[in-house]
Amino acid sequence: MDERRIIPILQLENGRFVKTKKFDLRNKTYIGDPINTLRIFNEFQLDEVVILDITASKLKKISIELLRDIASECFMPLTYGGGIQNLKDAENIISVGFEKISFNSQYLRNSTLISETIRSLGSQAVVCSIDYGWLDGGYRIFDHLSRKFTNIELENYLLQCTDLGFGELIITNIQREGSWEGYDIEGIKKICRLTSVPIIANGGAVNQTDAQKVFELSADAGVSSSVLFLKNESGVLVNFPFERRNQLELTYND
Amino acid sequence: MISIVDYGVGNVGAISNMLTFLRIENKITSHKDQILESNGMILPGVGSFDKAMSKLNNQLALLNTIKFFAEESKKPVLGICLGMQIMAKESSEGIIPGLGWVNTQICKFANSYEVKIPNMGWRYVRLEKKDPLFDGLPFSSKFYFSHSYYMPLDQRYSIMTSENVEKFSAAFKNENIYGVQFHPEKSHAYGMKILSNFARISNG
Repeated sequence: MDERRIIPILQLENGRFVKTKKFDLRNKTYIGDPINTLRIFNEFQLDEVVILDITASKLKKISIELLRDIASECFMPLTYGGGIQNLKDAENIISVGFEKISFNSQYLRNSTLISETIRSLGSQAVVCSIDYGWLDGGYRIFDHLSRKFTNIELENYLLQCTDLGFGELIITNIQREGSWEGYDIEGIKKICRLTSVPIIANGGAVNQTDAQKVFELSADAGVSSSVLFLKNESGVLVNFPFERRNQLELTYND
Repeated sequence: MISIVDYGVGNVGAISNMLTFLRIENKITSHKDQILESNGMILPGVGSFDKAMSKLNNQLALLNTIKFFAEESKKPVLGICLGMQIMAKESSEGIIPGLGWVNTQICKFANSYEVKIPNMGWRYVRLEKKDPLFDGLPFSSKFYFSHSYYMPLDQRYSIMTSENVEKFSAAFKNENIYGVQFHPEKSHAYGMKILSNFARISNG
């Protein structure tokens, strides 16, 4: 298959894109203005984009106007996650031009909302964002809201997600996120064996070799990275070292 | 003008966004007169077959309007994703009959370990028949798909195919009625080609 997807995951905070490191909100870099960033991604005809709003999760309030603006000139599949409280929220996000909405671990407490959303929008429109890591000799689910590990085992959680009918899983090893150490290949291998739902591997990617390793595990997996990917003229995806770019910008501003 | 039927199921915003970007006059509407005076009608759809059909069945005036447009006026119609599937007679996803604009039945992809379901992502397609809807499309075009059910191949109707567990109809045509399984509104330049061709077919 030639349909492997490379998907940037962008985190919104107060209407700006930021990049975190190991899920630590104190350790983050400003990436850019959402509309401009998405415009560039659109021009490069990227496969897909995932937008997670950190502020919306905290305040339980979705910036629907911003999402509308983002979608208005973005002609690729868009996934949104953050602050979804009910089916109406989910439907509004779809109606402004997003394809998929993403729920994360905290929604475990409200599986009724998940089932209801899947029934209404279909599996293909509902994504589960799974944050996990290695703790005490096993993979455990990390809770987004409390920012702590739960005692839920990844294996059980995956079965639960598959049963609920999610159409896609974004799996993030939080210990790799922003680490530039490569994807958690062992973890991904395990997850691929446990579920038949398409997965998007996230966390730790540096370059195409990392992406290639995931594709070898599962032909139809997607890989994602919150590091900016840019396409060069030959259409090959390369990594943009934005840390260096920020330095350049600083110099430029001086 | 192209009408995008708003019957409470679908990504109407995304379709309108692309048409507007292409400077094609369009209207998201459930209004009888607006639909009937449009030159082409787009039927979107996201979700489940029965939900979409029951939404239509519960808006009888709207249902009659789109039926009149497709069956009597015989102006161009384009169904997208689930909007394509409800044009069939029935679906194994539900028990409510479809619109019956194409004599076929929607099936579910068989479970398989090699291929993941839903069929989600960019897929290359094969143009099976020459059609004005495909004018200017490059030889190897790809589109964004996201579905678990599919319209089986049928020599009479299939004009574009793609493959997952099995080969399926990525686009069909039956007289004035088109349906595409993929999302043109989310398929960059390839999708723009399809939508601008549909507008040209409609607006003449």
